[in-house]
Amino acid sequence: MSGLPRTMQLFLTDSHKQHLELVSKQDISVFREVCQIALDFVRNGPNLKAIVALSQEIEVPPQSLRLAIEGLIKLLIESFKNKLSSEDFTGSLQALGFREEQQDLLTKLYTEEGKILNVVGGSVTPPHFHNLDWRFEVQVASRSLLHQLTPLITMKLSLKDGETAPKGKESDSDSGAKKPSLQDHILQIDPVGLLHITGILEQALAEGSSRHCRRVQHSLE
Amino acid sequence: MEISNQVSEGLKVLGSPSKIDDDLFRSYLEAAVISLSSAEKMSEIKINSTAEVDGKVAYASLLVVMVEAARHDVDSTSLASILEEKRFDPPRLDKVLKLYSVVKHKLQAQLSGIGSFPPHVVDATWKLDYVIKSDNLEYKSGPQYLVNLLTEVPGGGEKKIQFACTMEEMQDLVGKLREAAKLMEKVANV
Repeated sequence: MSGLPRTMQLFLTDSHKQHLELVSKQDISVFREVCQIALDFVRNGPNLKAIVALSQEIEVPPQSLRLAIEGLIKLLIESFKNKLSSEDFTGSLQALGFREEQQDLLTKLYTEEGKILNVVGGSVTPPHFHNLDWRFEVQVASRSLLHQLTPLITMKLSLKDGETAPKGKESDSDSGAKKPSLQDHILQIDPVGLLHITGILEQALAEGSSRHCRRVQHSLE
Repeated sequence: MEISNQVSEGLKVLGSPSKIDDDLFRSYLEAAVISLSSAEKMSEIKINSTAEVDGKVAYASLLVVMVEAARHDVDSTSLASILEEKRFDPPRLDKVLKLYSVVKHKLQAQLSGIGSFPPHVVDATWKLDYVIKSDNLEYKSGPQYLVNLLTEVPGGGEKKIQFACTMEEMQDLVGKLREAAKLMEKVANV
Protein backbone atom coordinates (compact mmCIF):
# COMPACT_ATOMS: atom_id res chain seq x y z
CA MET A 1 0.00 0.00 0.00
CA SER A 2 1.43 3.36 -0.87
CA GLY A 3 1.62 5.97 1.79
CA LEU A 4 0.43 8.73 -0.45
CA PRO A 5 -3.28 9.34 -0.40
CA ARG A 6 -4.50 8.44 -3.85
CA THR A 7 -6.85 10.52 -5.78
CA MET A 8 -10.35 9.12 -5.67
CA GLN A 9 -11.05 7.33 -8.87
CA LEU A 10 -14.62 6.53 -8.11
CA PHE A 11 -17.51 8.83 -8.16
CA LEU A 12 -19.83 7.99 -5.31
CA THR A 13 -22.88 9.93 -4.30
CA ASP A 14 -23.14 11.28 -0.77
CA SER A 15 -25.97 8.94 0.08
CA HIS A 16 -23.91 6.02 -1.16
CA LYS A 17 -21.06 7.12 1.13
CA GLN A 18 -23.50 7.42 4.00
CA HIS A 19 -24.70 3.87 3.45
CA LEU A 20 -21.15 2.64 3.40
CA GLU A 21 -20.38 4.41 6.66
CA LEU A 22 -22.58 1.96 8.47
CA VAL A 23 -20.37 -0.95 7.42
CA SER A 24 -17.09 0.79 7.97
CA LYS A 25 -18.11 1.50 11.57
CA GLN A 26 -18.52 -2.20 12.36
CA ASP A 27 -15.82 -4.30 13.95
CA ILE A 28 -14.08 -6.90 11.89
CA SER A 29 -16.14 -9.97 12.80
CA VAL A 30 -19.40 -8.24 11.88
CA PHE A 31 -17.71 -6.78 8.83
CA ARG A 32 -16.69 -10.23 7.69
CA GLU A 33 -20.29 -11.34 7.98
CA VAL A 34 -21.44 -8.34 5.98
CA CYS A 35 -18.99 -9.23 3.23
CA GLN A 36 -20.27 -12.78 3.25
CA ILE A 37 -23.85 -11.61 2.84
CA ALA A 38 -22.81 -9.26 0.06
CA LEU A 39 -21.03 -12.04 -1.78
CA ASP A 40 -24.02 -14.28 -1.34
CA PHE A 41 -26.17 -11.49 -2.71
CA VAL A 42 -24.11 -11.33 -5.87
CA ARG A 43 -24.21 -15.06 -6.35
CA ASN A 44 -27.71 -16.01 -5.33
CA GLY A 45 -29.67 -12.82 -4.92
CA PRO A 46 -30.69 -11.07 -1.73
CA ASN A 47 -31.11 -13.13 1.39
CA LEU A 48 -33.45 -11.05 3.53
CA LYS A 49 -33.41 -13.49 6.42
CA ALA A 50 -29.67 -13.19 6.89
CA ILE A 51 -29.88 -9.42 6.67
CA VAL A 52 -32.62 -9.21 9.28
CA ALA A 53 -30.79 -11.59 11.60
CA LEU A 54 -27.59 -9.60 11.38
CA SER A 55 -29.37 -6.29 11.79
CA GLN A 56 -30.91 -7.49 15.05
CA GLU A 57 -27.54 -8.66 16.24
CA ILE A 58 -25.89 -5.31 15.68
CA GLU A 59 -29.04 -3.34 16.48
CA VAL A 60 -29.52 -1.31 13.33
CA PRO A 61 -32.71 -1.11 11.25
CA PRO A 62 -32.70 -3.91 8.64
CA GLN A 63 -33.38 -1.41 5.89
CA SER A 64 -30.19 0.52 6.64
CA LEU A 65 -28.16 -2.66 6.69
CA ARG A 66 -29.63 -3.70 3.40
CA LEU A 67 -28.74 -0.35 1.86
CA ALA A 68 -25.25 -0.67 3.26
CA ILE A 69 -24.80 -4.11 1.75
CA GLU A 70 -26.13 -2.96 -1.58
CA GLY A 71 -23.78 0.00 -1.34
CA LEU A 72 -20.88 -2.36 -0.81
CA ILE A 73 -21.81 -4.38 -3.88
CA LYS A 74 -22.21 -1.21 -5.88
CA LEU A 75 -18.76 -0.16 -4.75
CA LEU A 76 -17.29 -3.44 -5.98
CA ILE A 77 -19.11 -3.25 -9.29
CA GLU A 78 -18.11 0.34 -9.91
CA SER A 79 -14.50 -0.44 -9.11
CA PHE A 80 -14.51 -3.43 -11.38
CA LYS A 81 -16.13 -1.49 -14.16
CA ASN A 82 -13.52 1.23 -13.92
CA LYS A 83 -10.83 -1.45 -13.89
CA LEU A 84 -9.25 -0.23 -10.69
CA SER A 85 -6.06 -2.02 -9.81
CA SER A 86 -6.07 -3.55 -6.35
CA GLU A 87 -3.82 -0.70 -5.12
CA ASP A 88 -6.24 1.88 -6.43
CA PHE A 89 -9.09 -0.04 -4.91
CA THR A 90 -7.42 -0.09 -1.50
CA GLY A 91 -6.72 3.60 -1.88
CA SER A 92 -10.37 4.27 -2.57
CA LEU A 93 -11.36 2.28 0.47
CA GLN A 94 -8.98 4.27 2.59
CA ALA A 95 -10.51 7.50 1.36
CA LEU A 96 -13.92 6.16 2.23
CA GLY A 97 -12.88 5.63 5.81
CA PHE A 98 -12.47 1.88 5.90
CA ARG A 99 -10.00 0.62 8.48
CA GLU A 100 -6.93 -1.28 7.45
CA GLU A 101 -8.12 -4.78 8.21
CA GLN A 102 -11.39 -4.00 6.48
CA GLN A 103 -9.45 -2.75 3.47
CA ASP A 104 -7.49 -5.97 3.37
CA LEU A 105 -10.60 -8.08 3.50
CA LEU A 106 -12.39 -6.11 0.81
CA THR A 107 -9.34 -5.99 -1.44
CA LYS A 108 -9.05 -9.73 -1.13
CA LEU A 109 -12.71 -10.03 -2.03
CA TYR A 110 -12.20 -7.64 -4.94
CA THR A 111 -9.26 -9.49 -6.45
CA GLU A 112 -10.51 -13.01 -5.82
CA GLU A 113 -14.22 -12.71 -6.32
CA GLY A 114 -14.25 -9.83 -8.73
CA LYS A 115 -14.50 -12.23 -11.64
CA ILE A 116 -17.93 -13.29 -10.54
CA LEU A 117 -19.13 -9.77 -11.21
CA ASN A 118 -17.99 -10.20 -14.74
CA VAL A 119 -20.47 -12.95 -15.46
CA VAL A 120 -23.37 -11.75 -13.38
CA GLY A 121 -24.93 -8.41 -14.16
CA GLY A 122 -27.91 -8.35 -16.43
CA SER A 123 -29.01 -6.20 -19.29
CA VAL A 124 -30.74 -6.39 -22.60
CA THR A 125 -28.12 -8.12 -24.65
CA PRO A 126 -28.26 -10.84 -27.26
CA PRO A 127 -27.71 -14.31 -25.85
CA HIS A 128 -24.22 -15.65 -25.85
CA PHE A 129 -22.92 -18.64 -27.75
CA HIS A 130 -22.57 -21.61 -25.44
CA ASN A 131 -22.22 -24.82 -27.38
CA LEU A 132 -22.88 -26.49 -30.69
CA ASP A 133 -23.67 -30.17 -31.06
CA TRP A 134 -24.10 -31.69 -34.48
CA ARG A 135 -24.78 -34.97 -36.18
CA PHE A 136 -24.54 -35.95 -39.77
CA GLU A 137 -27.50 -37.88 -41.08
CA VAL A 138 -28.91 -39.11 -44.34
CA GLN A 139 -32.63 -39.11 -44.80
CA VAL A 140 -33.50 -42.26 -46.70
CA ALA A 141 -37.28 -42.02 -47.00
CA SER A 142 -40.30 -39.96 -46.12
CA ARG A 143 -43.99 -40.50 -46.67
CA SER A 144 -44.04 -38.17 -49.64
CA LEU A 145 -40.76 -39.34 -51.16
CA LEU A 146 -40.02 -43.01 -50.67
CA HIS A 147 -36.55 -43.37 -52.07
CA GLN A 148 -34.13 -40.63 -51.31
CA LEU A 149 -30.67 -39.96 -50.02
CA THR A 150 -30.75 -36.53 -48.53
CA PRO A 151 -27.64 -35.68 -46.52
CA LEU A 152 -28.38 -33.34 -43.66
CA ILE A 153 -26.60 -31.96 -40.67
CA THR A 154 -28.75 -31.49 -37.62
CA MET A 155 -27.35 -29.11 -35.06
CA LYS A 156 -28.21 -28.10 -31.57
CA LEU A 157 -27.11 -24.57 -30.92
CA SER A 158 -27.12 -23.73 -27.22
CA LEU A 159 -27.23 -20.08 -26.34
CA LYS A 160 -26.74 -18.70 -22.88
CA ASP A 161 -29.08 -15.97 -21.87
CA GLY A 162 -27.05 -13.21 -20.32
CA GLU A 163 -29.96 -11.90 -18.35
CA THR A 164 -30.21 -12.73 -14.71
CA ALA A 165 -33.57 -13.55 -13.21
CA PRO A 166 -35.83 -10.55 -13.48
CA LYS A 167 -36.04 -8.25 -10.52
CA GLY A 168 -38.96 -8.60 -8.16
CA LYS A 169 -38.67 -12.35 -8.05
CA GLU A 170 -36.85 -12.27 -4.78
CA SER A 171 -38.99 -14.89 -3.14
CA ASP A 172 -37.55 -17.78 -5.12
CA SER A 173 -34.04 -16.46 -5.07
CA ASP A 174 -32.59 -19.29 -3.03
CA SER A 175 -33.69 -21.99 -5.45
CA GLY A 176 -30.78 -21.24 -7.77
CA ALA A 177 -32.95 -19.29 -10.18
CA LYS A 178 -30.04 -17.03 -11.02
CA LYS A 179 -28.31 -19.59 -13.15
CA PRO A 180 -28.03 -18.25 -16.66
CA SER A 181 -30.69 -20.02 -18.66
CA LEU A 182 -29.74 -22.00 -21.75
CA GLN A 183 -31.90 -21.90 -24.80
CA ASP A 184 -31.49 -24.61 -27.39
CA HIS A 185 -32.17 -24.19 -31.07
CA ILE A 186 -32.52 -27.30 -33.18
CA LEU A 187 -31.44 -26.46 -36.69
CA GLN A 188 -30.79 -28.29 -39.91
CA ILE A 189 -28.47 -27.50 -42.72
CA ASP A 190 -27.61 -29.12 -46.01
CA PRO A 191 -24.01 -29.84 -47.01
CA VAL A 192 -23.72 -26.90 -49.37
CA GLY A 193 -25.14 -24.61 -46.71
CA LEU A 194 -22.75 -25.95 -44.13
CA LEU A 195 -19.74 -25.24 -46.31
CA HIS A 196 -21.14 -21.80 -47.01
CA ILE A 197 -21.71 -20.94 -43.34
CA THR A 198 -18.39 -22.41 -42.29
CA GLY A 199 -16.68 -20.32 -44.94
CA ILE A 200 -18.39 -17.15 -43.78
CA LEU A 201 -17.52 -17.68 -40.14
CA GLU A 202 -13.97 -18.75 -40.94
CA GLN A 203 -13.59 -15.49 -42.75
CA ALA A 204 -14.99 -13.68 -39.71
CA LEU A 205 -12.45 -15.40 -37.52
CA ALA A 206 -9.60 -14.62 -39.86
CA GLU A 207 -10.70 -11.01 -39.97
CA GLY A 208 -10.60 -10.92 -36.18
CA SER A 209 -6.91 -11.67 -36.13
CA SER A 210 -6.03 -9.67 -39.21
CA ARG A 211 -3.42 -6.96 -39.12
CA HIS A 212 -6.09 -4.28 -39.33
CA CYS A 213 -7.96 -5.61 -36.32
CA ARG A 214 -4.81 -6.04 -34.30
CA ARG A 215 -3.80 -2.50 -35.01
CA VAL A 216 -7.19 -1.23 -33.88
CA GLN A 217 -7.01 -3.38 -30.77
CA HIS A 218 -3.54 -2.24 -30.03
CA SER A 219 -4.47 1.41 -30.19
CA LEU A 220 -7.47 0.87 -27.94
CA GLU A 221 -5.78 -1.04 -25.19
CA MET B 1 -45.84 -48.87 -57.49
CA GLU B 2 -49.49 -49.76 -57.24
CA ILE B 3 -52.19 -48.09 -59.23
CA SER B 4 -55.81 -47.97 -58.15
CA ASN B 5 -58.54 -49.25 -60.42
CA GLN B 6 -59.90 -45.80 -61.00
CA VAL B 7 -56.56 -44.43 -62.13
CA SER B 8 -55.98 -47.52 -64.19
CA GLU B 9 -59.26 -46.94 -66.01
CA GLY B 10 -58.34 -43.31 -66.54
CA LEU B 11 -55.00 -44.29 -68.07
CA LYS B 12 -56.68 -46.67 -70.46
CA VAL B 13 -58.88 -43.82 -71.64
CA LEU B 14 -55.91 -41.46 -71.91
CA GLY B 15 -53.94 -43.94 -73.95
CA SER B 16 -56.48 -44.69 -76.63
CA PRO B 17 -56.79 -42.26 -79.56
CA SER B 18 -60.35 -43.40 -80.13
CA LYS B 19 -61.53 -41.97 -76.79
CA ILE B 20 -59.36 -38.86 -76.59
CA ASP B 21 -58.27 -37.15 -79.76
CA ASP B 22 -54.74 -35.86 -80.29
CA ASP B 23 -55.61 -32.18 -79.68
CA LEU B 24 -57.21 -32.92 -76.36
CA PHE B 25 -54.29 -35.17 -75.40
CA ARG B 26 -51.84 -32.38 -76.19
CA SER B 27 -53.83 -29.87 -74.14
CA TYR B 28 -53.80 -32.28 -71.19
CA LEU B 29 -50.05 -32.64 -71.43
CA GLU B 30 -49.56 -28.87 -71.56
CA ALA B 31 -51.85 -28.39 -68.57
CA ALA B 32 -50.00 -31.12 -66.69
CA VAL B 33 -46.59 -29.51 -67.25
CA ILE B 34 -47.79 -26.27 -65.75
CA SER B 35 -49.74 -27.63 -62.84
CA LEU B 36 -47.06 -30.13 -61.82
CA SER B 37 -44.30 -27.55 -61.98
CA SER B 38 -45.73 -25.25 -59.38
CA ALA B 39 -48.29 -25.82 -56.69
CA GLU B 40 -49.79 -22.33 -57.04
CA LYS B 41 -50.69 -22.82 -60.69
CA MET B 42 -52.40 -26.12 -60.01
CA SER B 43 -55.73 -24.45 -59.31
CA GLU B 44 -55.42 -21.91 -62.12
CA ILE B 45 -55.35 -24.53 -64.79
CA LYS B 46 -58.79 -25.44 -66.02
CA ILE B 47 -59.02 -28.22 -68.48
CA ASN B 48 -61.50 -27.80 -71.20
CA SER B 49 -64.84 -27.45 -69.49
CA THR B 50 -66.52 -29.24 -72.32
CA ALA B 51 -64.48 -32.35 -71.61
CA GLU B 52 -66.48 -35.42 -70.87
CA VAL B 53 -66.27 -37.08 -67.49
CA ASP B 54 -63.96 -39.61 -69.13
CA GLY B 55 -61.61 -36.83 -70.12
CA LYS B 56 -61.46 -35.45 -66.61
CA VAL B 57 -60.72 -38.86 -65.19
CA ALA B 58 -57.98 -39.29 -67.79
CA TYR B 59 -56.38 -35.97 -66.89
CA ALA B 60 -56.56 -36.67 -63.16
CA SER B 61 -55.03 -40.10 -63.73
CA LEU B 62 -52.15 -38.55 -65.63
CA LEU B 63 -51.40 -36.24 -62.68
CA VAL B 64 -51.68 -39.07 -60.17
CA VAL B 65 -49.33 -41.29 -62.15
CA MET B 66 -46.75 -38.53 -62.45
CA VAL B 67 -46.81 -37.74 -58.73
CA GLU B 68 -46.79 -41.39 -57.67
CA ALA B 69 -43.96 -42.23 -60.06
CA ALA B 70 -41.91 -39.34 -58.68
CA ARG B 71 -42.74 -40.40 -55.13
CA HIS B 72 -41.52 -43.93 -55.79
CA ASP B 73 -38.60 -42.63 -57.86
CA VAL B 74 -39.61 -44.88 -60.75
CA ASP B 75 -37.32 -44.75 -63.78
CA SER B 76 -38.70 -44.14 -67.25
CA THR B 77 -38.41 -47.80 -68.36
CA SER B 78 -40.55 -48.99 -65.47
CA LEU B 79 -43.02 -46.22 -66.11
CA ALA B 80 -43.12 -47.24 -69.78
CA SER B 81 -43.94 -50.81 -68.88
CA ILE B 82 -46.71 -49.67 -66.54
CA LEU B 83 -48.22 -47.56 -69.32
CA GLU B 84 -47.83 -50.33 -71.87
CA GLU B 85 -49.93 -52.51 -69.61
CA LYS B 86 -52.68 -49.93 -69.96
CA ARG B 87 -52.41 -50.30 -73.73
CA PHE B 88 -51.00 -46.83 -74.37
CA ASP B 89 -50.28 -46.26 -78.01
CA PRO B 90 -46.53 -45.74 -78.58
CA PRO B 91 -46.45 -42.05 -79.69
CA ARG B 92 -48.48 -41.03 -76.63
CA LEU B 93 -46.33 -43.17 -74.40
CA ASP B 94 -43.23 -41.29 -75.56
CA LYS B 95 -44.88 -37.97 -74.86
CA VAL B 96 -45.90 -38.98 -71.35
CA LEU B 97 -42.36 -40.22 -70.67
CA LYS B 98 -41.03 -36.91 -71.91
CA LEU B 99 -43.40 -35.09 -69.58
CA TYR B 100 -42.17 -37.27 -66.72
CA SER B 101 -38.54 -36.45 -67.41
CA VAL B 102 -39.38 -32.75 -67.41
CA VAL B 103 -41.36 -32.63 -64.18
CA LYS B 104 -39.74 -35.45 -62.17
CA HIS B 105 -37.05 -33.41 -60.42
CA LYS B 106 -39.29 -30.48 -59.68
CA LEU B 107 -41.88 -32.82 -58.29
CA GLN B 108 -39.37 -34.60 -56.11
CA ALA B 109 -38.05 -31.32 -54.80
CA GLN B 110 -41.59 -30.36 -53.83
CA LEU B 111 -42.31 -33.75 -52.33
CA SER B 112 -39.18 -33.64 -50.21
CA GLY B 113 -40.39 -30.38 -48.71
CA ILE B 114 -43.53 -31.99 -47.33
CA GLY B 115 -43.26 -32.87 -43.69
CA SER B 116 -42.04 -31.22 -40.54
CA PHE B 117 -38.47 -30.09 -40.29
CA PRO B 118 -36.46 -28.02 -37.89
CA PRO B 119 -35.59 -24.57 -39.22
CA HIS B 120 -33.06 -24.73 -42.00
CA VAL B 121 -30.01 -22.48 -41.79
CA VAL B 122 -29.61 -20.64 -45.06
CA ASP B 123 -27.20 -17.82 -44.40
CA ALA B 124 -25.05 -16.16 -41.80
CA THR B 125 -23.92 -12.62 -41.26
CA TRP B 126 -21.51 -11.29 -38.71
CA LYS B 127 -19.91 -8.19 -37.40
CA LEU B 128 -16.93 -7.71 -35.21
CA ASP B 129 -17.07 -5.16 -32.43
CA TYR B 130 -14.40 -4.13 -30.08
CA VAL B 131 -15.92 -3.55 -26.68
CA ILE B 132 -14.08 -0.82 -24.85
CA LYS B 133 -16.40 -0.33 -21.96
CA SER B 134 -20.01 -1.04 -21.15
CA ASP B 135 -22.43 0.17 -18.53
CA ASN B 136 -22.82 -3.35 -17.27
CA LEU B 137 -20.38 -6.15 -16.95
CA GLU B 138 -22.08 -8.44 -19.42
CA TYR B 139 -19.44 -7.70 -22.00
CA LYS B 140 -15.83 -8.24 -21.25
CA SER B 141 -13.82 -5.62 -22.98
CA GLY B 142 -12.22 -7.00 -26.09
CA PRO B 143 -13.25 -8.28 -29.48
CA GLN B 144 -16.81 -9.44 -29.69
CA TYR B 145 -18.63 -11.04 -32.60
CA LEU B 146 -22.29 -10.60 -33.28
CA VAL B 147 -23.53 -13.45 -35.46
CA ASN B 148 -26.88 -13.69 -37.20
CA LEU B 149 -28.03 -17.02 -38.51
CA LEU B 150 -30.80 -16.76 -41.04
CA THR B 151 -33.12 -19.74 -40.82
CA GLU B 152 -36.00 -20.83 -42.97
CA VAL B 153 -38.84 -23.22 -42.32
CA PRO B 154 -40.10 -24.80 -45.57
CA GLY B 155 -43.29 -22.90 -46.32
CA GLY B 156 -42.92 -21.00 -43.08
CA GLY B 157 -40.80 -17.95 -43.69
CA GLU B 158 -37.53 -16.68 -42.32
CA LYS B 159 -36.30 -16.18 -38.80
CA LYS B 160 -33.12 -14.70 -37.45
CA ILE B 161 -31.14 -16.17 -34.58
CA GLN B 162 -28.79 -13.68 -33.09
CA PHE B 163 -26.03 -14.36 -30.65
CA ALA B 164 -22.80 -12.86 -29.44
CA CYS B 165 -19.52 -14.64 -28.96
CA THR B 166 -16.02 -13.81 -27.91
CA MET B 167 -12.95 -14.67 -29.93
CA GLU B 168 -12.51 -17.99 -28.13
CA GLU B 169 -16.13 -18.96 -28.50
CA MET B 170 -15.97 -18.11 -32.18
CA GLN B 171 -12.97 -20.41 -32.53
CA ASP B 172 -14.95 -23.12 -30.78
CA LEU B 173 -17.92 -22.63 -33.09
CA VAL B 174 -15.90 -22.54 -36.28
CA GLY B 175 -13.87 -25.54 -35.14
CA LYS B 176 -17.02 -27.57 -34.67
CA LEU B 177 -18.49 -26.53 -38.00
CA ARG B 178 -15.23 -27.32 -39.73
CA GLU B 179 -15.19 -30.74 -38.11
CA ALA B 180 -18.69 -31.43 -39.42
CA ALA B 181 -17.77 -30.21 -42.89
CA LYS B 182 -14.67 -32.39 -42.95
CA LEU B 183 -16.58 -35.49 -41.94
CA MET B 184 -19.17 -34.75 -44.57
CA GLU B 185 -16.56 -34.44 -47.29
CA LYS B 186 -14.99 -37.68 -46.16
CA VAL B 187 -18.32 -39.47 -46.36
CA ALA B 188 -18.95 -37.97 -49.80
CA ASN B 189 -15.65 -39.32 -51.08
CA VAL B 190 -16.15 -42.87 -49.85
